[in-house]
Amino acid sequence: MYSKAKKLWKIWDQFWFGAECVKKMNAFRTLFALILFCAFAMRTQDLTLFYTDKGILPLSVVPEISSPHYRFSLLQYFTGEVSLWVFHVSLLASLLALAMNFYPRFFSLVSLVLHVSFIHRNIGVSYGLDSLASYYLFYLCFADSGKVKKNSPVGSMAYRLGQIQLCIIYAFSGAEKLRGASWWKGEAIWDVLNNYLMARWDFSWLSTFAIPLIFLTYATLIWEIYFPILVWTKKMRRPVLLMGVIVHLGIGITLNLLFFELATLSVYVLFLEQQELVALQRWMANRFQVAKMKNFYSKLKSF
Amino acid sequence: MQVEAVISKKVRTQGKLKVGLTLFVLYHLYAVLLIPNSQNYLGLKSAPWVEPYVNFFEFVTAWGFFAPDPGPPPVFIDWVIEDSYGKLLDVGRWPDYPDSFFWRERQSFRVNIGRYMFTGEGRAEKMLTPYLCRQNEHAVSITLWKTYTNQIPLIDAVNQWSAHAGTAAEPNRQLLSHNFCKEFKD
Repeated sequence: MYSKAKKLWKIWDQFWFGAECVKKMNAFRTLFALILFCAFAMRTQDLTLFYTDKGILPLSVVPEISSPHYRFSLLQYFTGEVSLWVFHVSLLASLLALAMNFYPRFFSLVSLVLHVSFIHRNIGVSYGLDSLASYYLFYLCFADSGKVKKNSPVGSMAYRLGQIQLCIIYAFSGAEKLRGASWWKGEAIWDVLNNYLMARWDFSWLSTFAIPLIFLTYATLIWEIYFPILVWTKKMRRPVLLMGVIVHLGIGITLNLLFFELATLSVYVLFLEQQELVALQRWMANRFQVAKMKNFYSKLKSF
Repeated sequence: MQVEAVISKKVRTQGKLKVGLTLFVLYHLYAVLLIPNSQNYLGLKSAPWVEPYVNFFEFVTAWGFFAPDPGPPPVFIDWVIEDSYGKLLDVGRWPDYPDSFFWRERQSFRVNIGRYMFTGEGRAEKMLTPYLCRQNEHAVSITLWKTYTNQIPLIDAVNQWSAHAGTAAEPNRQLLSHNFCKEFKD
């Protein structure tokens, strides 16, 4: 009995606290923070409309329309427009710091506090990306700094939580879809693309491709339901990740949800093998000419 | 001997840390697995020790992306602003359509808020009416309408594929509220 428990603990310990993940977490942190930076920067022109008393939701109305229990926001205590701008700029700056692996745990915490403050000030503005940001900024608070060579148990735990979180998201989303008539009928993708408030362009012409559209709907449903299991298997990991890339890029391009889709894709980094990550980094470095940028930066510095 | 003592102390500390982290992981996973499906007896019983945690960090989400069905059809709040003689001052809709935003995310924020207004009783009235009253200094009354168009099912679209998305169906209109601005301007 004791030896069995010891064996189980060993497996648990290895899974949660012994994962090799420093490089993957670094890459994920940079990508995720950059995507959040761009997404939150989009709010800049609408700050007054969304988060001040002059806008659509005065502070006095907040408790009337959403449950205030244990929901705190710095914007409840600092109500002026100046503080709103300070918080907004601080959030963007802390995300940039995070992207550059500069005091990552500290700036993850700062980003999380500010991000949650914005959500709790006006929860109506938030959508999937904000939920994703709450979770993953929280996990990044535990992740090891980019400078360590070997990860700590806490850092390893953050990595595993990040992986499992994505599985939880797909599992719930997939299971919930099974209750939907349009998913059973194979018409869900048509319904989404035909919603002109969400779609980037007019997709009514797609009705001429009804059969592929129906197959695509079923394929998406099956992929989402089985992702949480198949991504842990050696054989199917790559195909399910590839299918995920296609689905998310497809949604990001056709609907007005680009940043949410990119943020979800950035979590895929946590499922890559070490060599795959290196290959991806090399490809990106070539694609975006990082070496040239570094050269330019060092010249600028010396100048 | 001293080195051994230091090592064993380190191992013990690590062991304690791992036990602590294990408890945290179990609690956290319980909370995040419960939240999307918390409207039941288990959720009710767990609320006192889960709710503060998930609300504080805003982990409250059902992860129902495009589920169970992919979102409501295009829905708007049409508004009418009138002065004290009942003369029409302005009309408009939330969210604006078609919009003029270069960054599409800006329209998505507005669509989200629009949906949020419909998910709670009187939310549209509480949010939009005071805002519109403050926007127009001569406004005396505000009327809000819910306007939505049913989407064309795929099978119908296949039969008449030239029909443009959302425009073939007649919009449905439903009165939401009629309020006076006096209380919001004082």
